[in-house]
Amino acid sequence: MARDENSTPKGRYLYSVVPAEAVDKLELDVAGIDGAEVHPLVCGALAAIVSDVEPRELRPERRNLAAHSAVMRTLMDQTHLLPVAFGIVAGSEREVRELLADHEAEMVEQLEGVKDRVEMGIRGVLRVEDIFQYFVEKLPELRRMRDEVYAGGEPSREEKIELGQAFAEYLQEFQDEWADAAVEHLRSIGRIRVNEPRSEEEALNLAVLVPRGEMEAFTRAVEELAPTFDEHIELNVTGPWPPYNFVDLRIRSGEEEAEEAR
Amino acid sequence: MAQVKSQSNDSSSLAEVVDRILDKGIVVDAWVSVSLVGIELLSIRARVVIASVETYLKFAERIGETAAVAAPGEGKKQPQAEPEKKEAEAEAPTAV
Repeated sequence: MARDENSTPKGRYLYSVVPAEAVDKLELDVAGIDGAEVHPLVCGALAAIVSDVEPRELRPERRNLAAHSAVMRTLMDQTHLLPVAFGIVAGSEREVRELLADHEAEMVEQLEGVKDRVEMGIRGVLRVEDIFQYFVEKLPELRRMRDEVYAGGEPSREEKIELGQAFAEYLQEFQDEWADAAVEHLRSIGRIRVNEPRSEEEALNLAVLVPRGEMEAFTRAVEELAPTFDEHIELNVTGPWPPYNFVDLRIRSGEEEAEEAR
Repeated sequence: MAQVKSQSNDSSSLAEVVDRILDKGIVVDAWVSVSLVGIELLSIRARVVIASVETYLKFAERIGETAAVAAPGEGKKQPQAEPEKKEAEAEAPTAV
């Protein structure tokens, strides 16, 4: 798609913010959202990587997510970067440049923090046939509670809520313990972000910011972590990813910003 | 001993991608142009769902079923529970 700032009003889809000095060497031979050409917009020490897009609500469907990811992968092979979340569309190039100018200091600082580092993901999944059976067998207290609640036929709604809530709390305790153990093993490698597991089958979900030269140490640390975990837990290691879990920049509109300022 | 499985970025599931690019990284609130209509997103809904009465009821049902497995016949004590369970399942998230 040809780029023409004066033609129809188009939005600018944002993929990433990179150091301006990286732009000269960047090869952006990758199709963006809708197959559009991907190009940099430089402002001061920073450059935004964007493509033109018809202004509309974008659906996070496979095709769009894949296009966003492909651009990120092309970029991360060539420079350090701040990833932008999916579906962020500016009204014009001027707006993009204003964003970079307004947040230059914090973006430069965050870029420095992820330089020469990649994000690796670790997700622990409980591979058991029945997660409830697993915990009932593991926890005598839960088993006792189950037997009491179900002893006299159909339990009341309140009894069920109490039992279910107790299970949720036990689950949370285990998830916290597993996360603490993993953090303990991996903290020497780099920064760690612990995310909430997404389901009762998930034991652990975290991201580690690994220096490029420390990948072997990271792999070793994961291998050392594995024996300390329950045999039913499978540790899925993914990456390298752009540092999504280590870029923390939520830009709110003026009023909200003032209200929520810490 | 837990098993370790490594996947390259390319072969990672869509869920891994979604988990990252949907709400992490730089977010400019005023420029968010995402339509979630008709899409169930695991990563967004999960926490909301776990801390709800519907989920507690679902958990209790499932725990009750483990008793039925241990002692067949006891499971017959809870037939009316079905509609409630279906409701909870309908609200549970599914992958994209």
